[in-house]
Amino acid sequence: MAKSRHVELLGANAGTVQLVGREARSTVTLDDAVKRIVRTSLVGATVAKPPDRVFINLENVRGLNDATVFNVYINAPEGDDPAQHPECKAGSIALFGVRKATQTGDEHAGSGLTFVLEISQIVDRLHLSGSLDGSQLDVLLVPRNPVPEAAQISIGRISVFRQDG
Amino acid sequence: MGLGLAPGDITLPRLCSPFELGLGPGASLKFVVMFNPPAALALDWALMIAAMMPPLVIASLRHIGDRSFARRRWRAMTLFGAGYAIVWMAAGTALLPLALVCRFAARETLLPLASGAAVAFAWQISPAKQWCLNRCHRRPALAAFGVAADRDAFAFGLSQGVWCVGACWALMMVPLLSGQAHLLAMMAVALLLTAERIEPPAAPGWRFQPPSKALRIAVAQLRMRFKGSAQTR
Repeated sequence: MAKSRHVELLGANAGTVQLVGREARSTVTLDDAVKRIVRTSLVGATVAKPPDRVFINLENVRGLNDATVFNVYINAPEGDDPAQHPECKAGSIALFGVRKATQTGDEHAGSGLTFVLEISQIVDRLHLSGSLDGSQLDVLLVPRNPVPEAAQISIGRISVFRQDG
Repeated sequence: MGLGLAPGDITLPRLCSPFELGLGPGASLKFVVMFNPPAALALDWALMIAAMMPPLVIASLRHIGDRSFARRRWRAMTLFGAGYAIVWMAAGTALLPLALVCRFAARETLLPLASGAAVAFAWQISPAKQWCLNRCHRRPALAAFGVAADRDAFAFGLSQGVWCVGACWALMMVPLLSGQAHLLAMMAVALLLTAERIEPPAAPGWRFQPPSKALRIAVAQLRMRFKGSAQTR
């Protein structure tokens, strides 16, 4: 049986993010105490004791268009084309099933979908470059195709979790 | 009144008492009201809620706990519990007097219980019940920091309380109308409420929805235990 690992919230944004048009940005504020735990694990990482794993959650994603696909970038330089920064890409998310999950009479009770992407390597790179000293992560969502307002795509909360290494 | 603390003399809350809340033959409404002061009824109602509701809020508490910072977890869950309890206590101000009046009007008959059971059944199969039950499954986004986090946790408790009352009020009347069978009715209703809460949301409509998921789990558990016992012999 897999060993149960301790997971806790590291940070979250404030407010709902509307995904309309060509991109959406949000800022995840990190908790100082939990961030110190992550940094300590990164500094003291060994083969025997790997560093914490870090995940980004896009919670309560709701909307009416299942065909929406978007890329998630962490701390992509502002003004640059994020596609030129694959090192900042956390992953891609396809919203297949989101319409059904948005309906209150269905099994998700209208709470939408939650997506999880691992960003351990991105966090490690930020740590090595000294960019993890700040208390925020910039999250950029870039849809493959512009999202119309009628699609009503929203993300209830963007949060970051740490898991013991 | 309430739980007695004298050694060897534990008393039941009056709602569970076989003394029928003072509803003996010839008792006047004034006597019944005097015999059941609001504070005592409120305490007994709170005990009833505390005994019956925890299985219904476990998933919501887990949601709050998982999505809060570790240092705020208990605070968030307490705020949720407070919001939830406030709504159920408010509901008690309507349900308890209603139950008392029904039992007073037809005391020493099964009419209050029969009527309550009929109303509960009608509500159970109604679209309104399913509509409320669907909303009990909601897991909203919650702020993580500061006052907003406290506000969201409390508001989540309030909203869950509202939908829970909407879904469960009719079944909760059954123990209140059961007289001497109050404790038994409480246990049966608590089991039924827990079983229906683990069913997934469904489209509202007029239909009887048995707690099939709970039954399947119970059957699977029994089969596992019998299989395990057979293998050890």
